[in-house]
Amino acid sequence: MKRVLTSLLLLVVVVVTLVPHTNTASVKPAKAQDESLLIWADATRTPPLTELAAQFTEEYGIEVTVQEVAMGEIRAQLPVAGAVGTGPDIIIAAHDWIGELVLNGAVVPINLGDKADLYTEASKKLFTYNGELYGVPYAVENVAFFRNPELVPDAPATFDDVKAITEELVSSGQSSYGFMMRDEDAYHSYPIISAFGGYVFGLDENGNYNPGDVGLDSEGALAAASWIQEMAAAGYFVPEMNYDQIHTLFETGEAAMFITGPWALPRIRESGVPYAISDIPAGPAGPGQPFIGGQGFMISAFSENQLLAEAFLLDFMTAEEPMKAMYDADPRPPAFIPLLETLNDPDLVAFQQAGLAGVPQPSIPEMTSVWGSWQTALQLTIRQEQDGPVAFTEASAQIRELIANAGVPTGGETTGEGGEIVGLPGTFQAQLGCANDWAPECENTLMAVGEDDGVWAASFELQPGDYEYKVALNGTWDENYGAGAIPGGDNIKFSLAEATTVVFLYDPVSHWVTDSVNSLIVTAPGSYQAALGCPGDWAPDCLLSWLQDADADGIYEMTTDKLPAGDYEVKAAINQTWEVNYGADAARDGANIPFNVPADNTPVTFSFDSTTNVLTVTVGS
Amino acid sequence: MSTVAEAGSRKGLPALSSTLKYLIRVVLLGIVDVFALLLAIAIGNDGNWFLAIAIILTTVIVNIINLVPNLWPMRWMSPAIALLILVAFYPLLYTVYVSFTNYSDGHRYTKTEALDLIADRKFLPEGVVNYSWVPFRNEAGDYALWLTDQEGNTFLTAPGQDLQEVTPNESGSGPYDDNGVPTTIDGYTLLTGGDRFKALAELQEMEFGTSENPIGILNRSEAGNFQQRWVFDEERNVLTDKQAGIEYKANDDTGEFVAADGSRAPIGYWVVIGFDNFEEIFSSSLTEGPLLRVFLWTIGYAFGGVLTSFAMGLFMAIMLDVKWRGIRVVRSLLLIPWAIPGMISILIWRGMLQGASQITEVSGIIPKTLDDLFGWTPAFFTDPTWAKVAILLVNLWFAYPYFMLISSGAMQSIPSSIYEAARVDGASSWRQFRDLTLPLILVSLGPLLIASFIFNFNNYLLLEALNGGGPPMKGANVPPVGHTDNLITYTYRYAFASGGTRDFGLASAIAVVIFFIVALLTLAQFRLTRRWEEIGENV
Repeated sequence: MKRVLTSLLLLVVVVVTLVPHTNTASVKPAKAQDESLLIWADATRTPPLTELAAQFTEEYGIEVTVQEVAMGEIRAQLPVAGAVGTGPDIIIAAHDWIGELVLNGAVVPINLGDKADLYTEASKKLFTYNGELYGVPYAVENVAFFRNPELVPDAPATFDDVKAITEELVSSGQSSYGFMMRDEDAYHSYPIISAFGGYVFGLDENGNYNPGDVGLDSEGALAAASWIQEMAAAGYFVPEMNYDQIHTLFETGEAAMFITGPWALPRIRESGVPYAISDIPAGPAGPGQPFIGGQGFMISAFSENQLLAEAFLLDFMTAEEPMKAMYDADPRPPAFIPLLETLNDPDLVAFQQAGLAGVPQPSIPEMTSVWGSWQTALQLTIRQEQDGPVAFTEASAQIRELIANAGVPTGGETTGEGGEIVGLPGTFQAQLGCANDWAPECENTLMAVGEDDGVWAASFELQPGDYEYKVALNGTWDENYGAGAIPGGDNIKFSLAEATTVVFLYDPVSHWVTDSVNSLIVTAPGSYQAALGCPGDWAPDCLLSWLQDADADGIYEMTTDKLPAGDYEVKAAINQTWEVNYGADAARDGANIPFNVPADNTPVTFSFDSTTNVLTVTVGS
Repeated sequence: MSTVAEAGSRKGLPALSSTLKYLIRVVLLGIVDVFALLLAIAIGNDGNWFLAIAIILTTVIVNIINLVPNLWPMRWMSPAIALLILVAFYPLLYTVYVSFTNYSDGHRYTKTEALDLIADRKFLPEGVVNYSWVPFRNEAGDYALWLTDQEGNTFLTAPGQDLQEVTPNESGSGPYDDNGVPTTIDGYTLLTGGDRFKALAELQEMEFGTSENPIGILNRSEAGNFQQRWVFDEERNVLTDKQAGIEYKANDDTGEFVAADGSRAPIGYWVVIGFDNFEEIFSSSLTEGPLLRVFLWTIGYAFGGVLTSFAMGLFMAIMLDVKWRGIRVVRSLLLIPWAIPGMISILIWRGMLQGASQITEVSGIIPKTLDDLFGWTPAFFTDPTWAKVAILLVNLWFAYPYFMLISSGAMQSIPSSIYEAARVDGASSWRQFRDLTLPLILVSLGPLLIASFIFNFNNYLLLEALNGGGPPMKGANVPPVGHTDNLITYTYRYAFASGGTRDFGLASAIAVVIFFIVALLTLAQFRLTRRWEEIGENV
């Protein structure tokens, strides 16, 4: 034992002598050096950027390092490397990463300032997310329709023409294939799907993509699926054909038409095959819409030099020469207007023309749930393993399920203190990924119990349509409530004209069930709420002071006898926020309404008239 | 000789020698400790306290082994123990820990980190003047900003000094440049080019103006009295978006900031969520169908792969168990598949099996031959059954040389006298194989078969490289699952599939479940081999 102690003592002495005494500085994680920038770029863009960086360093004396990182890795590693302080200041990024990167808090908004006019409107729109610009665009691209003019002299106007031309070419033996497409490429199939009226996500009232409205099984999308299936059944689409094979067929004159993007130009030009680029043919729903995608620079939220990074991008890169260098290394249609004007390339103009009908490729995080299912549907259709419309319907159901599962019901916990669960059986369940409608046990439509107020709530994004529902306890129909808080009562009905987020509420005490379509969600926030058990006073979201209207007469009421004697103030708030609130004299944002409770536990009734917006407080019975 | 030398050294300076050795040992140990300590501090500073603690614990164990005399014989094992803790136990425990969290995209940071990340976002409140700015510096190195408001009025401000309206061509300003900015003013010089770029790092942290009317730089184009956009109230546990005026309540059960209308703040954090991930594996409608099929195929592939390649290897070993000239060369040649890097031969196999499509140029040799001979081509990549056959086929090619090698080794160790006895008893060669060779080599090969089984159970390379898990399974797309995906490739798709929303917590939970499955299967198989050993003892 003594020996161990001596050893320990000795060891401590050794360690103390050896540990560098300036260690506090030396062991800190390596942070970006002041006044220097690190850029992550992929293999194609590293060479021009490295040269530009050297030029910048020479000119301004600020070190800029370019690190080569694979495209997919940039996206995945930015939050990882950033969090430990080794990440880049600037990344090369595709516009559809924005949703995910913003979700991870990894990028910051950029203000183009006086340089805003130098970038095309389309490119700026691509990099805008939730109203804020997150990137400096440099290239915008979309697919267009390629044809071999020797085989197909005139650009087909519709996809029916495409089919007819294909039939004729193949049957006459002029070429082995007519119009071709890959079976595993959802991206290139979107122009076809949109021409028939299909879509991926519908738009909300602000023009943003609405993940609650999935359109891959809309009538138009199913018509497109049938068209693709017909082409495959006739043998015009070949299963398992890859990108390279289709290109080779086109370049050798064996295939007459296909859809591809500007990235294919160099190899097609080199092959010497005659080609013409035109707009995507139209379908029953109008011209086919290509997805528009963009490439650009983004600034890391972890960067210590965000201002310098912004200045580098806007005061150095935003000029014709650097943009030309980027273009030369990777010729994609530039987003920088002065360069676009000088290039004057008829092919790029043709792409731009085709892009006029295009729509931005969705960058909302939900898009990641879409690609896989969509691609599988396409594969199963072209390989004729499944009926096209069925495959697309199934894929859409999967996408909805995925999106529904990605979210969490508001409030979180779906099991009450006594282990009870509250379900929302109704006609919207299949849409939300349940096995069928009227399923009280379906997990996707369970309500969540409020932590403080005990009121059950759920909110779902629903498609336009007429709906009916009830509330059922514990996954069975044994205890259920319908309209008017009546056990076993009638179904509650509502209709939506457009996709809407509907909030459902259920009070376990009064058994009142309602939704944000049928009634207002009225609360009476005030200085009395803490006494009621709310987390604080003036909390419009606390449903302990929820005014209910079980008899649907437009008068919302709540009575409590839990208040200690004293003076209080109150207002009425709609939809659990302060956004719409009413005070004295029914005035919006009006003065607080005072009331006095003369003795402990005097009953107090709050009543709100939804036609006049008057909140009345009655003290005493 | 040696005894003399030893005696000599004992007689010479015995005490010093042992003390010296002892000192060297402690100093070496001290050096190791210092490195470990610095490493732990560096890693801890990066926020990874788990790993830092693991390193320190490991170091403590290594120290105990080296300092406590009774444990001294274990000293040579201490590096191995240290590595075992750091590269096996630590990742295992960490995986288990992650499986109880919701660590995923949108929940990648701790609450503090997440709040830190958005703490420096600023916004311009309504009614506050928004200036464009140009930096200046005087000879003492103090900065000043030349501000222009929306109406075109210009001001000069320095830290602690209120805005001072500047009228063109007055108050000591020098000549104006092309942008209408004076090149000098009040002893300050306009910063341009490299000077301006270099100043930006410093400027972005500075506050100009007075404390009543502070001016900060928001971005390259804007300066003004900006305010912090996201303010967190610790007491109420509420995050407020000052710009939009929305309050988001922190939900520490889900790691989100949720507003009253159910919308979420654009940042989340990870929290411990208990058994939710495990519940999701076993109950979610997303996983139950595909997961069961993936599990069955995982077992099927692991067993099938070992059985077929063991059978083939054993067969080859018996066939080659002859005394021909040159048989050694043949045997060595047969080992080649084992020696070639897997990735290369998988790609070659891919090419050979590929195709059966209508374009003959790209059809692989195997479908082409089958087509020529029988007019029949199985779809090795798109048909669920044939895709599995293809996997087992390629697996056989990889694994049989190994089994051939170990089987022929094991057969050498069977005493030939047993066979003589069998022959005397009149046993046929099939009987000899079934009742003597097979049971006896199973005794020694049992553990190796189990190891191969576990390897196949966790095989990633072959399944991913040959067919990428395809063909896709109908009705199973979360993540997209294929018919030849095993639990490992399936988990990989959950956690790392590029382009997908990555859910590390759920992937860890699946990994933990796989660990238990493998552990149980291994235990069962060890039971089985023990029975074989009993057979061995009875022979």
